[in-house]
Amino acid sequence: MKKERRNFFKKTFVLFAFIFISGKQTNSNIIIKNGWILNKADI
Amino acid sequence: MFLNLDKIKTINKTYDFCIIGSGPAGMTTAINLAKSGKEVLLLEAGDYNYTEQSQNVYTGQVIGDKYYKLEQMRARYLGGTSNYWAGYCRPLDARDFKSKSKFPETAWPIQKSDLDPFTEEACKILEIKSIENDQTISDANGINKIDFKFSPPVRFGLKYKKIIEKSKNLTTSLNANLTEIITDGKNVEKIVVKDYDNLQVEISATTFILATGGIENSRILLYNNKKTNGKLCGENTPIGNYWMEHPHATIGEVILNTTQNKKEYFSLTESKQNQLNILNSGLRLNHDFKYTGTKKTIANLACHAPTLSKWLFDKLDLNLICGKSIMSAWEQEPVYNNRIELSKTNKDLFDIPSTNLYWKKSENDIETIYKTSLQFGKYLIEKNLGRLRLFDWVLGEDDYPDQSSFGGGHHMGGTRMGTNINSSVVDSNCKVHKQDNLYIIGSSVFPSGGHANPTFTIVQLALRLSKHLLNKHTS
Repeated sequence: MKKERRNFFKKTFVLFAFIFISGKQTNSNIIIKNGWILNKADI
Repeated sequence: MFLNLDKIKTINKTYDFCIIGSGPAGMTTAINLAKSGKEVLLLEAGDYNYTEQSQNVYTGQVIGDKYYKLEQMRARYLGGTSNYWAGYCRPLDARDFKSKSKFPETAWPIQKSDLDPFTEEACKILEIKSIENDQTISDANGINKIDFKFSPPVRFGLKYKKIIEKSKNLTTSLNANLTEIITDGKNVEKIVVKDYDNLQVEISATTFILATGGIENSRILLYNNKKTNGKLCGENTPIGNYWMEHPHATIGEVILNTTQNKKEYFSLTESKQNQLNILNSGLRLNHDFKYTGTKKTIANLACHAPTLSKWLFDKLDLNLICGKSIMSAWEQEPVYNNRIELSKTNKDLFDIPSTNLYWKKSENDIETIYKTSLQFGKYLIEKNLGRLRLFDWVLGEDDYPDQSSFGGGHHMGGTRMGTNINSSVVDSNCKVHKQDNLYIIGSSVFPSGGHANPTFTIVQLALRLSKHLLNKHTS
């Protein structure tokens, strides 16, 4: 039972971490340089 | 028919409706009420055409942010400010009527659906094709492609002059300046009107409708409320407060992977505005190179070869922009201290205090345009359409630009619509809370202004008011 609960929390944590990191990545792809709104790949 | 004020004095009758002001609000109301056969008197303070004498009555003082002279951007003769307008037409968005968590004072006591039934008729009056729905072109970044329709533009004085001449029950008197509103505290009994030769006439009507524009409606009410010790509107009513404009500015420049020359318009979706906790704004993509001669040719060429041109510009240190400028007109939050007051030192020709306009843009106004343009920049990246460069002031790295365009000449608020006499001047039917027979019509009743040019909404409201008044008179 304890193991199952631990697995549940583990999975939930991984899921939230994934969503968090994905979001960050999306936002961090955009940068503002000299007024230009750019994609990281632009520079 | 047109009648001089001395004839009106001789006739001395009680009209069903007396409308003061012949701009889009007053004229639309007058024409519609007259269609029903009611006796309507329309009073216009100016003449058929511009006169300096009439226009000078608009002189006033602006305190706060830089703004146009108050005798500019509005016209005091038959047809009112429709004699100047550019013809941009667009109804307000559904969200504009709602209260927002950060901006509760933007709430109207009516909804968009209350004005929608008058859209078709407003289109006919303004001589535009039907209004088209916005198209969401990016769910991720919440971008709507929006539409403006363009009236020829309709000049209300020219359009209706012949109809007035032929009409038997719509009497129009020019050079008729409202100088006093006489009330018993519950009903307006009569108004006093003067011409430029100082002829004074008292006018009686069952119902009075004030339609003198987004500054004058407040000035007239402030003056008469003071004169009657609050008997007209109430002692704590916010007359003149919550005045608003649509600030206009070029916010940046865009390089696009397209050569199309059409003007395009964008805004944020309702859900994105809610998510970002901001107000409404419209982005206008203009294909207008500011360069001339060789520079223009190079910039034009750059549109067709962006990679090559970027390399070339870097080498030559030219810093030319291939593409378009991006302009915005945005919503101002309704702020109590943005207001019209009566001048303590200056008076007009009729001994009525002139206008003092206190007007400042807030941090929330600038935040709205920053967050909106950032979304648009992200949208260009998402769809690989180009790149946007924002000016320093939009990014908060410089002061607001010292430019010639301060706003759209859109004078809104001051006699706002609401349910409470302590926070609004008129009710949801545009009736002054404290009077049974005095109505205000025009953009002065807007509790908030969205980003759309106000004329279309003014005409919708005037049509709605006409219907309400006719129903009231019939019952």
